Amino acid sequence: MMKEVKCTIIQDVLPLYIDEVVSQDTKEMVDQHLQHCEVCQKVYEKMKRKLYIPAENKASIFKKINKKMRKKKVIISMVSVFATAIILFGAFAYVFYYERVIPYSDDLMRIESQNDNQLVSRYFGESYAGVNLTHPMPLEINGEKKNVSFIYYTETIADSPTRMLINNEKNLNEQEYIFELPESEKIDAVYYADFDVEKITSEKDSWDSVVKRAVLIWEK
Amino acid sequence: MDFEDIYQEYFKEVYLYIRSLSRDENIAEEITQEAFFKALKAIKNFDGSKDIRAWLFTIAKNTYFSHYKRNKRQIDLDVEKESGIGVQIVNHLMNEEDAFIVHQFLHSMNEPYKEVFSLRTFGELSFEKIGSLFGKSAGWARVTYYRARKQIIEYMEEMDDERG
Repeated sequence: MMKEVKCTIIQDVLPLYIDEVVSQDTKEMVDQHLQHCEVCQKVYEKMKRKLYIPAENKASIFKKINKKMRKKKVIISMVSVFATAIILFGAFAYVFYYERVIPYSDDLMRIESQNDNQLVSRYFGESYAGVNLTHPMPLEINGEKKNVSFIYYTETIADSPTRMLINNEKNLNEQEYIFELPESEKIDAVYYADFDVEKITSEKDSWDSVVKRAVLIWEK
Repeated sequence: MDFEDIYQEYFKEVYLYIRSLSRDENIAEEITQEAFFKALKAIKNFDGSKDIRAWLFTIAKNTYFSHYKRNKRQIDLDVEKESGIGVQIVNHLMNEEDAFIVHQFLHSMNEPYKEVFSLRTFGELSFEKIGSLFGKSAGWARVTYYRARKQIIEYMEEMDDERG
């Protein structure tokens, strides 16, 4: 009878034993040990067993990839819809609401005095977006005190003197644009200038400097 | 998970597999990258009948061979496949959640168990080749492989026990 072999040694050679790459002597030694050692028998049974593992393949990986891609696609499409909406809104706002000052031109706008001394501003363009004007205010111009009113017209892309965008029919608006100037009996002069009342009230600008860059368009 | 994840996940195994064929680290890296590039282009053709590692190994092997054909060099084509490796890769073995858990476990095994197991199971390399890849003996590779198997078997048994 051989000397008893330790279980750890048997278990170390079990892989070789199972793969049948051991010498005859070792094989006999393991055979003998397994006959009476339950622990090693169990280890042997477990080791010998065929291992079934699920294939890592299309079904498992690609479903996950696809799911993520789909999620990504949904997110991307939502983001792009949102971005498109913002861009469209921006473009819409730009076309219809972004106002710029129309530069003065004497064949586009004129101050006229009507019968009852009422001053009016007559506009000859196709359209405009807005008109801004002030009540007359006393200002010193070249040493002279004058009551001055300021006026300016604005345009948007949609509403401009030429009205390129939505002018389907020619001379659709034959109406004339007339705008009455308030307190016109007091006015000594009317200037055309871009001004921002907010800037003036916050003292970033002043009427004195507005008048310097303004165009005199009417005088008593 | 996208292709980059696949690259991250399997690069080392594919690289080791090619290393076992070429024994040149630089070439192995180059071939591996080329193989992944090919795999990316061909991913739609992957029908899922094989395990993805076996598929990647096949692409890598073909890439390696055509690389050498181009360079008109002699190589030993002795990549005879080992048979009876004691692992069966099965489609639809279990439900997808369980399969995913098993895959996670395979990926989470420590080096060298994961690599040795993968090269043996999916690359069907001999223990001699696997051993020499790691600068070890065939016996070392065999024991390591059996230990990896043991880890997997025990993990899957635990999973089964938990399900009752």
